[in-house]
Amino acid sequence: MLFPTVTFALFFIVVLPVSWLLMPHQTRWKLFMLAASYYFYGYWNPRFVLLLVASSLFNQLCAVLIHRADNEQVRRLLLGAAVVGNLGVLGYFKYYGFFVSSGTNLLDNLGLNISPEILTVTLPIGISFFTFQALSYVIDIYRRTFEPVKMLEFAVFLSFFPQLVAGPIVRASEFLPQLKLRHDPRRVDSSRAFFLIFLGLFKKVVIANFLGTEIVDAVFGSPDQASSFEVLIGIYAYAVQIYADFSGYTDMAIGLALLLGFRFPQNFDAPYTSVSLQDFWRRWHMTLSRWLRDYLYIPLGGNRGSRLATYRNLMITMVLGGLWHGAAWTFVVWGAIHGAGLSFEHWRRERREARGEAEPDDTVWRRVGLRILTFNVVCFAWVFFRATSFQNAWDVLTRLLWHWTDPSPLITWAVLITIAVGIGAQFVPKEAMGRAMAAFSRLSPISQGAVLGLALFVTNTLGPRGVAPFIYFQF
Amino acid sequence: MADDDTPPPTDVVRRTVAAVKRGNQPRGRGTIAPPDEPPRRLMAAGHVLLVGLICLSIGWALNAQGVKKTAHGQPIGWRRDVAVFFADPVASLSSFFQLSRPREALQSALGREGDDDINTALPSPTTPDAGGTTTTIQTAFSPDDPMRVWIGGDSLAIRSGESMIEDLPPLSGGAIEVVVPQIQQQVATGLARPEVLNWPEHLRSETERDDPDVVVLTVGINDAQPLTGEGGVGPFGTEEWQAEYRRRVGGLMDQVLGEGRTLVWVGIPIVRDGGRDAQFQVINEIVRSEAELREGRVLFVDIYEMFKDHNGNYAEYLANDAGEIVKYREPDGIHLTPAGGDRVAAEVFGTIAENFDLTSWRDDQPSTTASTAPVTTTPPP
Repeated sequence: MLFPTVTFALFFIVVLPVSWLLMPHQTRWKLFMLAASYYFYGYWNPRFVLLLVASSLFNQLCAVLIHRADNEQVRRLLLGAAVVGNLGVLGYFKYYGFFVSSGTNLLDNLGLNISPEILTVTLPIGISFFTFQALSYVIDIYRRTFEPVKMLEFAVFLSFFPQLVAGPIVRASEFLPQLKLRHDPRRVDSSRAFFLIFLGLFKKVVIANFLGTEIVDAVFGSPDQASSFEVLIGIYAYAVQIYADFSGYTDMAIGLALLLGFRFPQNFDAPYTSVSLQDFWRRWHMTLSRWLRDYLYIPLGGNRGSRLATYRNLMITMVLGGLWHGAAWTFVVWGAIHGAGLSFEHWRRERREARGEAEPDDTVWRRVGLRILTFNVVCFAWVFFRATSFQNAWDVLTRLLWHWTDPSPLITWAVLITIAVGIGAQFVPKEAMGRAMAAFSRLSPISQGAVLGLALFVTNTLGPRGVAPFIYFQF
Repeated sequence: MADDDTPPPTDVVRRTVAAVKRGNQPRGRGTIAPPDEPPRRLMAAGHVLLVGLICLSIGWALNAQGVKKTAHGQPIGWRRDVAVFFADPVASLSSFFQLSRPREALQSALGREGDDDINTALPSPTTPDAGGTTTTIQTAFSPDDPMRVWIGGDSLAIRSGESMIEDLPPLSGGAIEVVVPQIQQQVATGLARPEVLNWPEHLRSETERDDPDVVVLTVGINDAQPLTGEGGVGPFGTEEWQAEYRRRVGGLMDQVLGEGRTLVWVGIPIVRDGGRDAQFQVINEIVRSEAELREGRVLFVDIYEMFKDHNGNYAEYLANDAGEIVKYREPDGIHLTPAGGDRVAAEVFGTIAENFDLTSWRDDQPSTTASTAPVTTTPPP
């Protein structure tokens, strides 16, 4: 079930009042929310609800056993079983074909010709997200920073429908304490929720879909037919498309959860205003970035070891982060570009500190230069993220070089304005957004409904017919 | 990746829980004042529902024509019946009270007039001459006078179309020019549901705009369902269904031929689901037999066998010509990957090259680019 559909609107109109009516009765509310979330997930493919149930049971069992065990070796063994179990399921569904075909081709290059039958495996939507959420729960319990909750509560956490299929990656320690709070149905932060939902809707339905169909698909689908100017604008358009698509989804997810009385962590913070890659990763997919930092980068040693160890840790983290997005070598390269960039920034900072040099003055022009540089490095990496193969990425990048005089029918004023709006909107001060939400919150319910109805009309009319799948659903 | 100097996760947790407490515990006059933001008024859940209902009502009234088209485009079944039951009268009321005007004006400003129109009339096969129609078409092409090719279809056309746009011009040495800058995809459409997209009508507007010599069309994977619109009949696969689907396929073929163009119809490959595969074979067979009735003018490209393993089963991965294992199909078991698209594009090029002269210009022969040859089409039964 996709958020921007009539089907979901009807689903949510039923869930919202029932959820608030049942809120005083905790167990009944949890059972209802679990059923609603399973219905939401099963609407796509009912068989995979069983996978979600199995994941809940397995992780809760591991968590309880780890919590009860006194022997450190046993605890470590149980944690290992949980990690292997979770990553094993993820690996089977997501990476099986990738690893078998890559291994076969590697052996073939070495002269060992084998022809394995490769099973066809259907990828369950959202498996990468709920697997990471489950792992954070088990690892936090292993670290004794969190205690196991009841099975029903954990199942609600893992399947809670606003964040189930494409994040944000909410941790148990962020969500489960909220189940114990008294939610007052007279105090819903609706203005922020509606603002996020409609902002996300506009980003997805209008901006992302428009850029995808007008230029990005054509440039990446047939790069040899595009001019250099079209390729350049196509890459920038993809940067805006993937931001609008993914942040649009999580805006809607955060807004819907807020209407149900739950707060999710922020997932994006104007990423294209970043002045460095480190800054970018504090603003882009923040919940994944935090997850990788806390459960992979820091356990690997973080930046506490030697300089080389830090670079190694950054590269491992970012390459695995890239592979998390998809079973293809292009995602590995995307992660490696970011890992190398972060290592370079780290090296430069350390060298400056070692020489006792002061940080350069933070002038406007320096910030502008750093923003342009960072944005273009990020866009270069996006080419590998979007490309269907290395050959495709190579075709796109080489096409940038020699075809500046070719005609560029794909570039229209509408495309350029949409890209400008997509990037420019990230520089709107947060206070302006806050003031808009505050002003909206002071309207009467009827006026609010009218304003939102007009917003729905504009979004629906400007958007193309039908709803394209969200890019991050495949991850 | 943020370094270790960013706030530890426990801070984030503390802030989140504190924010929840701020927002959910009775305090003052029903406002929330997050740091760095002006205070917002909070709302009761009942009022939230009211706002949502007003929003949806206004949105529905102003977008009623679009909602109606969406309702009619739902899969056949009780959900569609219910959607149509509500959407049609609301659309009529919206129209009566002129509430559809703003949408029409905005669509007109965007150059998308008629987006919400529902036209379910489909052309039948034409029999203008009982003895066959003699149509003169160009058969030889060169870089100076290239074959103009239009490429489009449903979602199955996307990957193969992208490959064709990329590959056909260089494979032909420039004797083929693709007239569309990108694949003309119409996802989730076919000949079964003209209220979703009337393909003959849509294709006519496309070919009038681009004036191609050859139309490469991939349509059919959404057609294993009851047929709606003029002549509608169901369920799928009955004799009546096959007769009506045959009429629609033949009608579309003759429309393209009547414009003096050649039609290349790309079939459906084997798919993972056995039930759907059997349905698609029925569709393939109808298209193949209709193409045979128009031999030489409608070229059916059969890609069914192309994606089978050595046991004759569906395969997601197959060895390519170099012996490398390559992923040809998407995880949904239906669509093609870019590598799969390349395979289909090569097959389409082979079919075009077999039926047209794309090479004689290389031999430096006297100009053949203007040569024409009469082709006889046999009228359909």
